[in-house]
Amino acid sequence: MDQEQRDSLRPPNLDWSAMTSSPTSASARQLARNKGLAWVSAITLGAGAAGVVGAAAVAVSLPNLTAASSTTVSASSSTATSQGASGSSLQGSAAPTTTNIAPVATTGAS
Amino acid sequence: MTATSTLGPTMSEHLAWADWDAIGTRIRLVVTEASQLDRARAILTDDLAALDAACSRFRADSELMALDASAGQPTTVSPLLAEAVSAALRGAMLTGGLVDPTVGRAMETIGYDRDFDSVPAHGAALRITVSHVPQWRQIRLDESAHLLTVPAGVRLDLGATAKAWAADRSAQRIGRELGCGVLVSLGGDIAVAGQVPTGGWSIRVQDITGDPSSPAQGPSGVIAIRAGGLATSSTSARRWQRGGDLMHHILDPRTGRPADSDWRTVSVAAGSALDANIASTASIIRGRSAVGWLAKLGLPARLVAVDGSVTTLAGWPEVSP
Repeated sequence: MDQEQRDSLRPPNLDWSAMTSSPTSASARQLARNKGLAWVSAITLGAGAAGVVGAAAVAVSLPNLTAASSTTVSASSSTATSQGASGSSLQGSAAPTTTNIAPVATTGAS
Repeated sequence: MTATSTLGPTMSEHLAWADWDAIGTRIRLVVTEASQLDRARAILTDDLAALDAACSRFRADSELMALDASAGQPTTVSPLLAEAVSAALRGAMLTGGLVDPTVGRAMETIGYDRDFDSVPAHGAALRITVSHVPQWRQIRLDESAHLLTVPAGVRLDLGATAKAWAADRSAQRIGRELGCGVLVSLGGDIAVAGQVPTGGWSIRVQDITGDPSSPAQGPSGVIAIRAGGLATSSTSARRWQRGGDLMHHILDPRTGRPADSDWRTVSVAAGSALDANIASTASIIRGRSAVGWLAKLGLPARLVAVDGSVTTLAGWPEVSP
């Protein structure tokens, strides 16, 4: 499998900002309705779509549920309450610097 | 091993360190005040024992393994396991699913079904079906209620994130409770907290974690960090063979097989060891596209290609061994 093929299998990039409230909550459902979205379970999707998005609840843009298999994910899963580590993106730090001090530890595979 | 020493010509602090084995890996603990080493070690030992009891995939009595009996029903779990799963799910979210905790069964399929020291180095060829792992979106976690739902048949493997998350957690706790500077390395996933030694925390980056006083094998360099974390993911360790196929422990969730990467080792510096580890693991799986991804995120990184050539990004210094 070459890189291009691997890229094509990659799950869609998800918008973290859309994941900050539980999609199973009433407010999130209302928000979805307001946006003209419908809440469905991916378990109702075709196998191909389920393979991509998993079996969590997803909001999809569709006129009716029967069209679900041809849609793409626009928002997200019920894991939205999971933010034990802070931040909606990977947190950066100051770049390491060079040093002539003897190392006190090593980082590598273990 | 426990030792104290003044390290390096410009380092005034009297650093003390201890090394030991736990949770299937090598632990190094360094503190800036030698008098606090024993207390720091006691804290870390307790933390790691709790981590093992909650999150081990290799202990029949762990809380994680007990989830098998939940048959897909919501289960109340300990705050520790809930936090560890939360960290894993965050990794999945922030990598588009490339660092996925639902690879447990796939790990077992390729032979990594026990503590790595007990995994036979060679074995018969495996019959593996290439397929998606169950995927992290099936996991439901209510952190406030510590309620976790894992679908029947899905086994979690927190190995990709738990060590780094635990290093952050323990470093913060030790720094806070003892008021000293501390470096916690769990198998090369490194977190620092508290007082910073003069010149920063000096760390050697290499393919395989080892004793810093021993010569490095392969490309290496010594850098210093002052905060956050540093992690390395590599296909150079935890390798075994089945038939003619070389296996390693970094699975591509899209195939359920060991990642076929352009990189053998990726090191990342970030605001925490957890984020560094999420980025380094995802980079191994992403392959060549990791360069653009890391650059866009602005995460300092060092990538070692399969042929040993080194690429540095986002301010990672060019250093010689």
